[in-house]
Amino acid sequence: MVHIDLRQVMVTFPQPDGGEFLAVNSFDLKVEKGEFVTIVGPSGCGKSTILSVVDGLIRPSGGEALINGKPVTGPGSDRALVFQEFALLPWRTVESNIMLGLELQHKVPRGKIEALVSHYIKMVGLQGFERHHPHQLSGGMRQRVGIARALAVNPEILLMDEPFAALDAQTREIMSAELLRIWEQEKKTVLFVTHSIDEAVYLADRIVVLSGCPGCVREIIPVSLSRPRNLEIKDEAEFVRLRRHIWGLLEQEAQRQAGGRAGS
Amino acid sequence: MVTLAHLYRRFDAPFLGTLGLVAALCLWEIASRLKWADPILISSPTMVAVALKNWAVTGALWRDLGTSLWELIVAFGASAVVGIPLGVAMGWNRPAEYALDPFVWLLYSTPLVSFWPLFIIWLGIGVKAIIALAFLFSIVQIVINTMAGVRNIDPVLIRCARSFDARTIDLFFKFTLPGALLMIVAGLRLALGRALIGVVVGELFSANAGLGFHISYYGAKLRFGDVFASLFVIVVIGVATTQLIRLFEARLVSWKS
Ligand SMILES: Nc1ncnc2c1ncn2[C@@H]1O[C@H](COP(=O)(O)OP(=O)(O)O)[C@@H](O)[C@H]1O
Ligand SMILES: [Mg+2]
Repeated sequence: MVHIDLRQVMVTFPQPDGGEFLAVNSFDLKVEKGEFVTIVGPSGCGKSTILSVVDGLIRPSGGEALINGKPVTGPGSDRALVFQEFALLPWRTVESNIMLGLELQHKVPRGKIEALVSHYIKMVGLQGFERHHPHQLSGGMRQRVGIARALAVNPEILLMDEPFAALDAQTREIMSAELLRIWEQEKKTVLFVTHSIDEAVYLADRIVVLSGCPGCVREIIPVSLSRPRNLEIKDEAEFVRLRRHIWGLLEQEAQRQAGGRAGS
Repeated sequence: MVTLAHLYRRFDAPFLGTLGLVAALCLWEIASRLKWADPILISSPTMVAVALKNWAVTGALWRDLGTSLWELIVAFGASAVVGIPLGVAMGWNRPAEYALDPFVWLLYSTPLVSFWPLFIIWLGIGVKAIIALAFLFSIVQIVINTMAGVRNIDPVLIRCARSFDARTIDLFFKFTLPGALLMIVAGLRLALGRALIGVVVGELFSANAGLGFHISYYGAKLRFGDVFASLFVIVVIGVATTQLIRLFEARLVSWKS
């Protein structure tokens, strides 16, 4: 069943000089329910903008964005964002940050929030840190809070905008393994933006490779690696082949951009 | 003496600060006693101490202190009550900012003392005019800090709030206000100092009680020991109230340490 359906989505931003800046141009993508789709592409190619369209923060200037066949009209509790910058409230504790989404939605009664929060604290492995403030946590732990906060509102779709980009390489690997473990439990539909080819392959059912054209799909690559996956999978021949293939696509892209700039 | 060296390293800033102060006081006393300059003009620490004692003994000190503190509290309180909502409105709402901005910068850049003749005509010589001047001194700082605090909220937090479909009231009370709180309190601290200046300046010009009045009264009589005694009390008030707010600030940022 198609969960997210983006048809010919186009996004333009008004510019100070009165013109329009084309950030995403006729972007097509169908994501199945429960599917894990990663998006890779050069920076500035419109990845965050696409997530914002799905989240309902930005209205497409052309085409349409459908969730379960219905057009997106704004943010909703069926979708939750995880941010590269974590976007935690520094004055709130871990616990209180995780309940933020529930609080803002005014749906779950106070008494039930506590139980939900402790459930998700356990799920992301933050027991013992409930009363800590974000600045007392490492980057990896902060993003665990960000993920728990998103999961706590029980969305059907998890939108992740380079969630591990601010973390060091090793923490990144651990976090992506953790994310897969959680995803196997929760069975959300995930749209995951990343710069890292390894991460894109390791996590995905399908990888969307964007070109800088802007927001044009270069190729959509299915990943046939078996699940559940562990980090050793990165040595398998199929993984290596996919990595090399995507690397090639992005390198061509980079060269075209560099060449284009030199020529103009 | 390991322990002394330890103590010194731990408290070197207050220790050296006190040392400098004591040295200056000694130098002042010596200069006065040895008549390096006319003792009537430069006074001396012991003369100031005596003046302070007499001021307290007659009870006039408490009346002057009470008057000035009362003016300070009213002016500062009123400027907080008016200034914080104004600053919030300006930080929250662009049209409000554009409409009010000229007034804020006008008040910030003109010497506010020049409003004094107007205040005297509008409000009469005395407490009301003094409070009005101190109010003006104080409110500008509060408005500017509050506006900056509200405006400078991290855009990614706004994006987060919108993504959770936050109501406007939640956006304000759960994101904007707590995010701006530190800036607002810092503004209050600076404003309190400015309000105190306003009170003293107002009293210098026209009053029949208060610390500023004490200065101008004895200044005219060339009794500089009493003038310095008054300055001493003003400094004590300034430092004490500022430290009080600093303590409050430290509690507010407990999540940072
Ligand atoms: N609100 C906005 N107003 C104007 N331009 C924007 C806005 N948001 C993004 N852009 C521009 O759109 C392009 C795509 O941005 P983004 O989706 O953030 O790229 P990515 O996430 O792939 O790095 C960039 O060139 C960016 O400068
Ligand atoms: Mg981005």
